[in-house]
Amino acid sequence: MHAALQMALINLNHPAHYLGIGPFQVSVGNLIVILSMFVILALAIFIPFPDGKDN
Amino acid sequence: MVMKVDPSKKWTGPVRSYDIIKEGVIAVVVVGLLAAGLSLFFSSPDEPAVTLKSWAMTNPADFAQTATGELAGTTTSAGYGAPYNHAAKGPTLGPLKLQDWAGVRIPVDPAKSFVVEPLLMMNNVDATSSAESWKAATPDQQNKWATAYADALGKVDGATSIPDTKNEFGPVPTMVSSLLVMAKSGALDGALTTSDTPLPTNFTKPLLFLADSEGYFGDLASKQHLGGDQWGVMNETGSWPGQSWLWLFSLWYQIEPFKSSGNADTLVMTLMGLLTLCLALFPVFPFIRKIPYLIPIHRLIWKKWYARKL
Repeated sequence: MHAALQMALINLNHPAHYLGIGPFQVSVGNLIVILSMFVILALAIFIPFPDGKDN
Repeated sequence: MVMKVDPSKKWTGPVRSYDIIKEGVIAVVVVGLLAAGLSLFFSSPDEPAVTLKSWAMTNPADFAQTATGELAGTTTSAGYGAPYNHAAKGPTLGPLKLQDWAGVRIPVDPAKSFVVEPLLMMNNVDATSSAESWKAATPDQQNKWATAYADALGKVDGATSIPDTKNEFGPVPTMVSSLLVMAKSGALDGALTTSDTPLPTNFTKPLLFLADSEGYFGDLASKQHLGGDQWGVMNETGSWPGQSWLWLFSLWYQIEPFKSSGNADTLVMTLMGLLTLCLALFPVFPFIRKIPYLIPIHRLIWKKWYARKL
């Protein structure tokens, strides 16, 4: 296990950082994934479809 | 204004070709490469297993107190109800006794399953004779011994055994000390995982026993932010991202009245079921179904078509 983790370029096997306001709490890892999903949603909306296939 | 469309009529508007096989292959390949690539950079969570042995080695006093609690019938599993025993009715939803009606399908008597039966398997005269003495006593006598010993253990921080100066603990100190020795050797893990199956594949009993721990198991979960009051359902061990899509399930457990309710699981699952039903019925709610007209995100996606219409 430890050998495999050492081989990974970025070691995440340490206590996570958490952000929170009141009852709301989220880990930095989860926050990055959630923000990434918003970015992908925005790209999916704004990037145009490939042209030339409409009939 | 809502356009009325006759579903029996064939679509006569514009169409565009769409190769779903090509899209699917691209999606699988891209996600596969992304997963393989990210695993090279970040590896994956690989926490060592939590066992009865690790518990007994790390916090023997907590183990001894919990084992005594199993004999006294004061632990969570002893009073859980279905599917393990009839000690409680469990969560209800109004008049619906959901847990109770499911019935006792995995019978577990914690004192017998976690303590007495493993001791009878030990190759140790003191352990087996103490377990036999326990079995021969009346339930009332057993309860007096175990309760007295639990009280005595609870008064001394870090104690794994207490001398029986007033002769009030019966065989309990020997049983608990023997079980601790068995757990430290790893034999208790084997005994509980193979008590119902020939291969060590059934972890119900060791998990119930571990979950009864007052100090060890809860602390491990709390350090990793996996507790129910820490949005634990969303989190993963270490710094890896967890199950962020479960945020709405987790949210209810952080706020009242769910947070302090002993019936929180049933209330949250019912609420989520109702919300899911509302989502499915989105098109039939008078105001909500007009939201796309008020916030026309679809016009951004099909902007070329709407630009042409104008």
